[in-house]
Amino acid sequence: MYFPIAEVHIVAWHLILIGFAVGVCGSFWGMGGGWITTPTLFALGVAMPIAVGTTTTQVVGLAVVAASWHRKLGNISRRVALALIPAEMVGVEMGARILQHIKTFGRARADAAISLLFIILLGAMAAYTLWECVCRLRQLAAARQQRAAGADIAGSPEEEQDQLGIDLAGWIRNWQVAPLLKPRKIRQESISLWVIVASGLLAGTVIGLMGVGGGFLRVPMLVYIIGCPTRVAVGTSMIALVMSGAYGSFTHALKGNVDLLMALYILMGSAVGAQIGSLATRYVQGVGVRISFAVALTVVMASLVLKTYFNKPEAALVVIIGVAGLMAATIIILFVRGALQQPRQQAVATTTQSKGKRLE
Amino acid sequence: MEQIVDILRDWYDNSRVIYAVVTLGSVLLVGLVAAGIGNWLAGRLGISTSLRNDNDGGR
Repeated sequence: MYFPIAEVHIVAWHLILIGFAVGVCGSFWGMGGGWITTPTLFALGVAMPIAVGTTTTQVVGLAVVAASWHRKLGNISRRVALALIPAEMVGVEMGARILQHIKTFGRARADAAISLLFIILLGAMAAYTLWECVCRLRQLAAARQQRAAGADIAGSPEEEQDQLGIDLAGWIRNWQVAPLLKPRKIRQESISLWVIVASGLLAGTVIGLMGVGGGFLRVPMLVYIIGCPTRVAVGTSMIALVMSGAYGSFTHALKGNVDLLMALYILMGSAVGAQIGSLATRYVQGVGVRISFAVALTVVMASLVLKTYFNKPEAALVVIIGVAGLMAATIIILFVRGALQQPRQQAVATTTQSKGKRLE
Repeated sequence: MEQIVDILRDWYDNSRVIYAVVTLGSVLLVGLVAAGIGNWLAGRLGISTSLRNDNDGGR
């Protein structure tokens, strides 16, 4: 099928399948999956500015689906979201204007510049997330050893996954400058409004400039800096993405960077995938989500390097679609396994309760 | 389909504001419809959302 605005031929079914895989992965990690979709469209031959605008647009629809599930699951911190969203909108406009300026360099230079930004961001995020996961796993292992040795450690291993861990961003978190917010669902007592605003500005600029939902920056910021448990970070990120993404989509469409038809085909797949990804967060714990995220970041970065610096678009496409498909399949398996186990666990709990009553 | 493509192309070339409004409206509509269908399906299939993750973040 020919897409006249993007000026490329792509099979519509391929877009729907890509959307499905991105939807599963994106909503599972609490983001729109733009950091997978934009490089995939780029590998398919779409110009970077159009890939950025189109991805921003499809991400909005995906975020609506995922946010509705996260709201049901109680994964949203409203106070954090209310402070984050206006700052992100300002950031989106800044990013979109920078992109317009980059477009004036010509297609080849614009593509190279945005690809380089992607590679730097994805690389930094992958390195930091992997490093944090390794540290956290070490701490969990140490806590288990202590427990095995008879030391009194409160809480379950699952709770420790959110409570323990390194605190590299702790000094930002402890920057208690008024006005202070006291959201109910975060770990510390209070957080400075300015910390949330700065996080929103940064995430918004990345959304406007690179077409990524901002989730791959926003989720780590919500976890490490603002102190949200992973599941709350994922849900809050999605609701922020609906609002800032909608603004980003509108401003990019005005600037001529959106192929609506392409966005709708991707959205058809991602709308289905997002439902599965959001529900799967019920069955997988924090550190597992972050490890899979770090691996995917690294592979997507490798795909961009292949396309931009080695001029191997086919290899880049295989790598990026391969990782998205593999991750989506894993998440679906975890979801199905968890959904099947839940009734059994509930039945066991009911039996135990009734036995206890009979004994009384 | 070709007519839809032509109309979109016309809006894209001549009336960018209409194109932007249609773009945003259509993705929001698709998202809301998909969320509604998913919700309904989950209810029919008995996928539980009753155990909400309401916690205090480990505080």
